[in-house]
Amino acid sequence: MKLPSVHRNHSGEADIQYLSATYIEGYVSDVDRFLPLSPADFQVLVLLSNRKLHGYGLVQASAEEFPAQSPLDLGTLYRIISRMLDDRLIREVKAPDDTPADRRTRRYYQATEAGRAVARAEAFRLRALLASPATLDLLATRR
Amino acid sequence: MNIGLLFIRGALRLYPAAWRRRFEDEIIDAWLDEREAAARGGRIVVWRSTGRTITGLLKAAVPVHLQHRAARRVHPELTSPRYPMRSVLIDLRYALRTLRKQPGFAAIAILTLALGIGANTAVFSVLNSVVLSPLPYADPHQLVRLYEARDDEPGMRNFLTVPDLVDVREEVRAFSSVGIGYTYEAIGGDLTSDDGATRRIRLMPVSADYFPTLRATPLLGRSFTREEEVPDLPRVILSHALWMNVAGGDSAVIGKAVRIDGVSMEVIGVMRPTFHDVVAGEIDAWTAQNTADGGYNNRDNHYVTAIARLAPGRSIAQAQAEVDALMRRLGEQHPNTNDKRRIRVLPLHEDVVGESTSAIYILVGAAGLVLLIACLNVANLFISRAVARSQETAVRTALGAARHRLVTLRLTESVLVAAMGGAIGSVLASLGVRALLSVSPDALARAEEVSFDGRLLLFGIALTLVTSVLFGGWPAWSASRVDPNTALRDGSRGNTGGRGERRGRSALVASQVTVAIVLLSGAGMLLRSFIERQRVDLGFTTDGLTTFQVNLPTARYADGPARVRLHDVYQDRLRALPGVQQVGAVSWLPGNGGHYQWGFRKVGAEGSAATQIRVIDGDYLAAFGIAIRQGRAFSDADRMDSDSVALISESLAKRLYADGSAVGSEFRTGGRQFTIAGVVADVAYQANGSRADMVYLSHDQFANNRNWALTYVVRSDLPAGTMIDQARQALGAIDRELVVHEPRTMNGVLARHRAREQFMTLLVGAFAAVALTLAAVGVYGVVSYSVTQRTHEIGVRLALGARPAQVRLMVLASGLAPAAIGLAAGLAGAVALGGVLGAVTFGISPRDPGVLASVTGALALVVLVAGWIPSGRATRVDPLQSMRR
Repeated sequence: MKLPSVHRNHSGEADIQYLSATYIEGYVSDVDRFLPLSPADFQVLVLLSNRKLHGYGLVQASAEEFPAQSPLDLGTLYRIISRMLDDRLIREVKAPDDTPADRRTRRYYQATEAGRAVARAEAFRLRALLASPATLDLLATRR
Repeated sequence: MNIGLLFIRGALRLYPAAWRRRFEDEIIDAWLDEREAAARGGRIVVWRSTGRTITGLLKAAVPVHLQHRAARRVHPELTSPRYPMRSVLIDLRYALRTLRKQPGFAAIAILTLALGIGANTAVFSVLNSVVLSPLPYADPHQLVRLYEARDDEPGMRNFLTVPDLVDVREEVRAFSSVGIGYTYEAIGGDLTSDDGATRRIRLMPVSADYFPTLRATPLLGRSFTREEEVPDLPRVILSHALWMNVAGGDSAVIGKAVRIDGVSMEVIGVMRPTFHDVVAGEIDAWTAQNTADGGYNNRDNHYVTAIARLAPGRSIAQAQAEVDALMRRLGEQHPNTNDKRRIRVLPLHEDVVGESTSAIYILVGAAGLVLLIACLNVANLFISRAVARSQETAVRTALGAARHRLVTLRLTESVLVAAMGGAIGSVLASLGVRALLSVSPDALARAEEVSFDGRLLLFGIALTLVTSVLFGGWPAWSASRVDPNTALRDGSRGNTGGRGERRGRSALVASQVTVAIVLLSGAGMLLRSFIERQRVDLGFTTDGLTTFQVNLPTARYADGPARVRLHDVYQDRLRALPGVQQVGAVSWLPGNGGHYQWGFRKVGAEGSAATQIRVIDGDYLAAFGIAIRQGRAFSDADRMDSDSVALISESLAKRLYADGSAVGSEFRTGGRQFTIAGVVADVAYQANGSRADMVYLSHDQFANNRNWALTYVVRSDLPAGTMIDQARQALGAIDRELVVHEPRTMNGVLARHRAREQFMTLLVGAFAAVALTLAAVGVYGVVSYSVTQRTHEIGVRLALGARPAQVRLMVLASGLAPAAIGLAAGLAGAVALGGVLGAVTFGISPRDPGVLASVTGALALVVLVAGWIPSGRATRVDPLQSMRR
């Protein structure tokens, strides 16, 4: 079954409204089931939403794109990968054609439609939290 | 391997196996990538990154387990054959469950296999300890035993003379050492403890090299030296058991004295508890063997045994060649004694276990047949079960179960059944072996060494696996071939099983009957042979005879006349007892194997004949019913101071005095000249009836030669127990310190020699009984199954007017036809295999037609009954009921 293409709509709060109101049954509730995501889960899912990466590639990308977070270790990473595979948030994909050929096992992963939906939902959730006047107020004060 | 990698692999061990298989390589390779990158930052960075990976892996293990378990509930495909260990566990659980649901089936299958596996394990334990295990000495392959033989009798195994052995010891370079032992069992001694109690112990004189040849060192003290090989050396080496017994394990015993035969003997050594004398059996103490020339040690007195150790790198053939050359030389130097004399060099292991080997291999074969028949039976059970479950199989197949999964499922069941059978069987085996050995401890050489060890365990496990494949493989395979379409359609009415399946079952029954008849005829042959052996004419009567030994300590009965007096007094007292008819004594009982063998030389003639010497006293000949053929028996007139007379056996008289001139002729033996006073009937010197030339000397005349340990023979109407009690009282009344030793009935003495036959007859008989039962169960099963299967058909036949007897015959045929084929095949097999039994049967042809006929008759009867009972059900089928089903 195909997931609804929620990503076509781009305006934050309305989207969340739209998601929870329209898809009260089925996949939307599935998306809700995964929220909130832990920071590590969020990193992994975000990174895999727009590219194909293997295990060490994920570690590298996370260090580049989320420098403020503590680096991902392989145990945590593969715990997340295996769970997300089971939950079908990500899937294994063919290696890109430009992959250097050596004898090491490098499996590439990419987010599924559902995975992207969950990542987006989490992003919206976080943005909504951050966009609240109280948070903005807190961020504005010095000390 | 890199330490970090080692830790990472270790940490990954904590993860679920399936998870690990999926991700292990990937994680390790990702870590290698990471390490390469970190290497640019230096060693510390590498360590830190590796440490983080390891701790991360350790932390994530538990969440992954939880995750994995949760995922399995949602995604059952994780338990598909991609995860083989899991599937085995599932199969095992499933098998346990189904077996629990059919406890009757499970119990029969398990017990049947337990019998088969138990029999095999028991027999293998004996084979393992007796035949396969090396002798309990260092470098056992170098050990040989020496026997005397003659050019005209190269197969002989005679005792040797000391002078010959001393020459062998000095001159044969292929031996690194030669040990001499005086193994005659009569060499016992009376051990007197501090409180004055006396008991008989087994004492063996050995030469200085005896223990070094076996590479056995004493636990305490030392062994004998060559200088100590002198007559009557008052020094003794104790066995560990005797040391514990008399000195309570006190190491200060060395240098102390013990009283043996009234002589105070210094203890110079104690042997280790691990030392077993495989040549002489359990010995309590060792004294020094005299090897000086003269006295007993002449080239005519064959009384010692020898073992030797091959020098490093020398072969038995080389040693034999050297010994042969030496013996030829001795034959030229001493033509009177050593002409045509040989010494045989045999591997000690073969010598010790040799006679047991063929018996054991026959038992191994018989046990194998029992296992085969057990497997056939259980296979039969499994097939009928598979048919009953064909619907289940069909459903599984229809749902897409792979064939190999179905086969594994069934095989798991059979392995499980075999494992339980094996466990129970092992217990049965250990109990059984102990029981059997306690029934007949003399049946096998090295029986005291039989034990259970790791090799046995391995054997048991291998046997169980082979067994499960044997009985489970075919049923599993054929069960997996079910066509779901047919099976599900027929299912409502109970599946009938295909023609192939029916044929398979018939073939199983036929093979069972075949195996059963082979076993039965083997058991029958052994039984016949055993009975024959009981019936063999030994030349003397045994019923009503009680025997016991009386040994006079040399210290207190130093000379011949004193010993003669004691025996005369004692015999008179015994004769005076009510119910006692005859009292005699002999140096070695007839039917009890060889003993002193001396050269017999006619005066005035060349060469000598080997004869068995027996010193007799009292009414010995009358008690055994040995007839006088010519001349006279010994009389009271034959005293020490009168002319030396002897009796010879009829065979010797016929051979050496063909003209009938034996009585009155003179001959020399044991260094003395005798006149033949009479010729007596031949008697067997071995329990199997073998005869030997005998020379009888009178104890009254010959008591000075040595202190003969006499074995008394009392013919009486009294029960043996009463007789022994009275004999003991009578002896104690004369001399308080004398002992009535080894009291037995004469039949008991002979039974010891028949122990092996008895053992084998018992065991093979038990195997045959099992085989017979299983074959009967097999036939019962087939007929009863055929009734169930054909109820509908029988109903139709009855409705159409068939008579019950006809119907009964029809179903009976389903079991009897294959049984008849099996019977024929079994008879052919029994005839073919008969030759194997030749080695152990006695007095009958191993293909004795009488035995084969009675065995066939018995089996046919059993099969008929086994088929008749269930076939009765066919006649009671109600046509209406059966067709409505």
